[in-house]
Amino acid sequence: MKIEDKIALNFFRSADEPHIRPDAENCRKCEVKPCIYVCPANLYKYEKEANEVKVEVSGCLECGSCQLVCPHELDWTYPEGRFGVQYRCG
Amino acid sequence: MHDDDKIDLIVVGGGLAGLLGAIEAAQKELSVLLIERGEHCGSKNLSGGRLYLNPLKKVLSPEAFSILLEAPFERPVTKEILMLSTQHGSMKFELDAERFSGETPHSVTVQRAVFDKWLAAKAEELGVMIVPESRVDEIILNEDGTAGGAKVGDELLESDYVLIAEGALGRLAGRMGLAPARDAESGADEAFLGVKETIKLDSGKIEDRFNLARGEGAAAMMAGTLTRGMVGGGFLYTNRESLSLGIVLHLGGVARKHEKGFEPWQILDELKRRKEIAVLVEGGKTAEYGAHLIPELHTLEGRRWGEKNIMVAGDAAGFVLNQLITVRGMDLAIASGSLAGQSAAEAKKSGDRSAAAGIYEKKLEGSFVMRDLRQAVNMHRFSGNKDIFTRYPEIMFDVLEEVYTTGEEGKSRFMGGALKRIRKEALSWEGIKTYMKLRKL
Repeated sequence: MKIEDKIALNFFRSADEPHIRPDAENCRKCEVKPCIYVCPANLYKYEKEANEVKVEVSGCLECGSCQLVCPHELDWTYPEGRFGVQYRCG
Repeated sequence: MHDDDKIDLIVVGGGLAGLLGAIEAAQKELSVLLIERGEHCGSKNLSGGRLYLNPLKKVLSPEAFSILLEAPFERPVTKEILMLSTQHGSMKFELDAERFSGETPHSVTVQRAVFDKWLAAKAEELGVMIVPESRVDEIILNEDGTAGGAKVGDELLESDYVLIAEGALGRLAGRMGLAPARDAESGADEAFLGVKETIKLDSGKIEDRFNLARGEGAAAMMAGTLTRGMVGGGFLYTNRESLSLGIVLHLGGVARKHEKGFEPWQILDELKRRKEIAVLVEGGKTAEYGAHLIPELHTLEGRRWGEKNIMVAGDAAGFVLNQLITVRGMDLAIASGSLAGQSAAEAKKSGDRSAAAGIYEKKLEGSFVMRDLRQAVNMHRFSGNKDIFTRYPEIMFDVLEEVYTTGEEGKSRFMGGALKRIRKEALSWEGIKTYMKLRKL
């Protein structure tokens, strides 16, 4: 089972504004980009041609790992109340 | 609410710490407002999840403890399983102890979206006002250093006491110096990441596959090569009609590895495909996929768990224990939250608002929470020892494999090679040191 399909099983309510905002400049100069490897939902992608890190915030499990490993103080908040993942099992 | 509409206690977060704090305070006639981010309590919460009940008897008020025992647990755990994975196979040990099947279960499996929601309903019955779908952005601080309440968006909510039970990231508590600084320097090293799949499976099948009496449950912990050399392990818990299969990895380790194939979701996927796991989950249907950060305190020195009328409990305070085959968080959350609620009530009775944190810290100190945490703080150095996760299981497996194998040339000389291998690899100074540390557990 693909990771995207697992994420799709969860119930999410997406906010209009993203709750994670990587700084394009910081990501560009970041050598390791650990966010790509730690995210349990595999939401971070490095786009080589554009030299950009993209994050698909709507599948975020709100664990906060990316923010903890980011060497450049990633702009991360919890989604506003009522938005984001809503577990049915937990 | 009381006549004067004044809120006594604001609780930030409707997880186990927050809910028990609210329940204890409400029982002592305090007016309590609990603010929860999710659509209901439990909807943002995820645990492995196994809850140990024994430590809570002495800490909770008798009323709160009896409420807890009525909760819709999944299964009492009567069977403990240890699985060691190696490159060429696996080993499994099972423990069925009579004391695990007592009248009060020793430990139970839970699903947080169910468990917390149920506790929230109990809290509401006791008069706790729960506001869901709301994020606390700030704790309001007065000039004298006491908290005046909480800020939700533009809304200012005033209270005499604040219990911060916001969860593992401890962002509000951190801003007040009441949680470890979670920065890139140390943040990832003082945290584990748990990733879990909930797999629906018929209850009869669960009982057959795990050799369980009807309604009883099993908890399996896994160590060995499944983490591909990274510090961590796996778990498999039986729920009523599902299995919780997950892995826990040292976050700093994953970040430093930064290599394809070592991502937490890949490690979990590989674990699910291992033969010893595949036969257990076969035919099951994945229902949910979640992740949760697990803080790990590396020192208790200089740490405070509250300030004047502010208290921090549960994951937000870093109250998690990682003792190799025993991983605990929920019982510590319930205990600390409960003590915080009791402390707010005692401070109110004494008339000294600022005394709450002091009362709380004293109660923590006198409870199993601090006793067990002290021990765990010494343990984290030990969990960094990779040998116990990879090398020792491998040696043990090779020895047993040799003992059980009869080859074309007949059986190899009884344990000759195996004994040599143990002597060579396990009886090193490193091995002896590991053994000495293990004894302290």
